[in-house]
Amino acid sequence: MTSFSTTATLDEPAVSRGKQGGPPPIFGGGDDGRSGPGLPDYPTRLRRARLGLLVALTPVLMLFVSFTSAYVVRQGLPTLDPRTNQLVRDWIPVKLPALLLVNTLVLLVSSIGMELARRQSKLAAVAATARPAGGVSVCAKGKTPWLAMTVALGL
Amino acid sequence: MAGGTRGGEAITMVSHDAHAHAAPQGFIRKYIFSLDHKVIGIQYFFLALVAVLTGMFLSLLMRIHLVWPNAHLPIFGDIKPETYLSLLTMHGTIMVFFVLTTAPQGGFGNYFLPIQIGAPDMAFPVLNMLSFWTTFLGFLVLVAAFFVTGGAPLHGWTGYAPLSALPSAGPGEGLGADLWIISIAIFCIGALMGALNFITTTLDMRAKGMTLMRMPLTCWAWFITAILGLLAFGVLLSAGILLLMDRQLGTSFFVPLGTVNGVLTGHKGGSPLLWQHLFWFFGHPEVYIAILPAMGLCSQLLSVFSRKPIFGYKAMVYAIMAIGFLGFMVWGHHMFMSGMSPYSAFAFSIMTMGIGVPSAIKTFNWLGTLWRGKIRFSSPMLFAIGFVSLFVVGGISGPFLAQPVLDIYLHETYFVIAHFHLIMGVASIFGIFAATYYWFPKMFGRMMNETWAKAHFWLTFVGAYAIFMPMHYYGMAAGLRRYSQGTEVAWINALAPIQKFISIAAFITIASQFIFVINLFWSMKKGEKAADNPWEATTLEWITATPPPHDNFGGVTPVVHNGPYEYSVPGAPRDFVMQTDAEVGAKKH
Ligand code: HEM
Ligand SMILES: [Cu+2]
Repeated sequence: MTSFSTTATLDEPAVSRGKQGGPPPIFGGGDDGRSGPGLPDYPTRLRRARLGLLVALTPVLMLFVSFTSAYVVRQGLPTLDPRTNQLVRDWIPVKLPALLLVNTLVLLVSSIGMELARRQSKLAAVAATARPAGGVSVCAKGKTPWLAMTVALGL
Repeated sequence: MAGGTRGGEAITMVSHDAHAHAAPQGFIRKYIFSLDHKVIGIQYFFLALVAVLTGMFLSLLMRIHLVWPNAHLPIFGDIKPETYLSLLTMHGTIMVFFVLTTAPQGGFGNYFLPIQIGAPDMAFPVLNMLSFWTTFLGFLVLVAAFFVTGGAPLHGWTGYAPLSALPSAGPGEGLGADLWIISIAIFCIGALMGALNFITTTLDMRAKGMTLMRMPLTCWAWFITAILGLLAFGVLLSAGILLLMDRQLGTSFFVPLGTVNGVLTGHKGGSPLLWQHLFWFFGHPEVYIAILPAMGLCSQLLSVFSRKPIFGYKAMVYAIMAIGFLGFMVWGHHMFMSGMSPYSAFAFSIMTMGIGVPSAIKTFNWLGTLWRGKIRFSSPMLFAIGFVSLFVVGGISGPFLAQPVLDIYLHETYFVIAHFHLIMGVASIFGIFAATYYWFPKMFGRMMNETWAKAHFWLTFVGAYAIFMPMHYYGMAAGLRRYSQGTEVAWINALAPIQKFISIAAFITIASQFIFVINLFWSMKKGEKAADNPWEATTLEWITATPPPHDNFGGVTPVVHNGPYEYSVPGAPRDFVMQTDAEVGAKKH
């Protein structure tokens, strides 16, 4: 958990700060000799990656839907008690420790924080390139320390 | 490694020269861990070829055993009842997953989807490569089940619990069954990665002018198949994980209270029916995953070789969608015998028969396409017509099985075997054959031998009917499936002559498949050189060089002006108009 949130948040600024705010470096599918003019540009790749991610979420959803339904069905199933010859419920509810709730909350908040930090740093990067050009100061207002908060939560 | 290296050998002919951008150098990047969708398609194709030969060999052993139960078989020795069951399990699993799901989608879909929509490659080439190697690993794990202690599992391709959930339930249900489940899980992951690629590619990488409604029906079929896969394989994956938990962690999702050989299993409270629901929620869409690509291809071929536009293009598209959608609502028809409430059975029955409607629409459109066409009986066309024939005959038995009253009698008999082998097995395989004969020139730059192709067609066509038609009678006479022999049961013993006939037909049909295999390898080396568009077809794979360059179109991006089925257009110079030709007249499409 710790390493996850820190690497993710550290990666982003590195990318956006990269040479004149240009596209992030290519990794993955780009190196099979199709680099150069044939390579799709950054917006295309971004759009494609977003679409791909959306599509990829579908089987994940199906996975959880089927786990959950199996769980619910199993919960309702009666079983035969051989001593009394009667159908009984043998489902033993697991007592969830309160810590689980806290953990979930921390996870949730830190992932929201991570996304906000990402947006903030992106805005800052845009502001950094825009300022010298237009002479207008694009003030990144409301400097809530999202990045710091996420790192703190990650620990 | 057979699949991989063979794929490698074959590809040497695919990539001679003419790569607009620098193609990857070095044998490994080029042929083994290639990111090129064409190479990956060929790898899938050869994996499926190895798998189909394996599966066919297993069926040969089963057919020998059914007729001569005491014969001593090569490799397997004496066939005990449980050996028979493991042959059956491995045959079904290999065929359904590694042949019928692998060749039409992973093989031909990978090779031709990007080309037919005018894209340089799949959307995510690395993922594409991973999906092949994952599938390949799944195959190795599955075959490994033969060689572990206890041998291969007994629980059939449907993996019914509690047999599949209890290591003590029989030989092969120990390590063999673990390997089976792991293999299926690996396969699911590979299939999901593939489906992700197909969907993104279709939605995002079409060339200019290639609107969805100008896509060839093959692309529509691959696209809908990918959506089915995306929704279905996740469910099978989770079912597999739960099953593995039942086996290894002592949970009881699928195992009720009970004993094996008088010993309590230690499980209680689970339900085997839960497994059936999860499995068939995947399983019924899966049968359509196997056949939709063949449907798309045959639509294509009937149009090309009748020199006529496809009859009812839009109806075909909507029928594919309807079949895909309804396919998720009918899984209960595999479980009429499970004691489900008559009301649910009724609902499942109506839904199932509902699928007959889009299926019939497709069939009539195929016939409408053939009607008054200038038919060219080339080998791909023969297989496409054969597909229609098999689809009708195999499909007709569906509505019989879909009625709970009849199914209670016919379930677990050879009638079901006849139904699904004709429609899923042989019809899809005919789709694969048609695809091979049709696209071989584009893939390997040479034509396949037409005389042998026709001989192969007739032997296989007649052979398939000779094998599977009698199974209907055998089933109606209460010949049960999944039994290794019936010599001790009077009424089954009386049916033995039918089994003998089927086995002899099977031997001949299996032997004639080697015509295909030899023709395939011979033509790669010695076949007549193919022109760029030997069949005078209109879709984009035929505008590019043979074999296609590394980026498919040699640096240019095609622009599409026409629909995919402009044949015998009045006023056009030739009897076909390429999709990239200037728009023809004021034709609406
Ligand atoms: C109108 C169309 C169809 C109907 C009404 C239909 C109906 C049925 C029914 C009711 C069963 C269950 C029989 C039983 O186990 O007692 C069944 C089994 C099966 N069907 Fe179909 N079917 C149709 C089309 C197809 C197609 C197109 C395919 C594949 C491409 C297919 C593949 C299968 C398979 C593989 C099984 C048996 C699975 C097993 O038990 O091992 N069916 N069908
Ligand atoms: Cu079904």
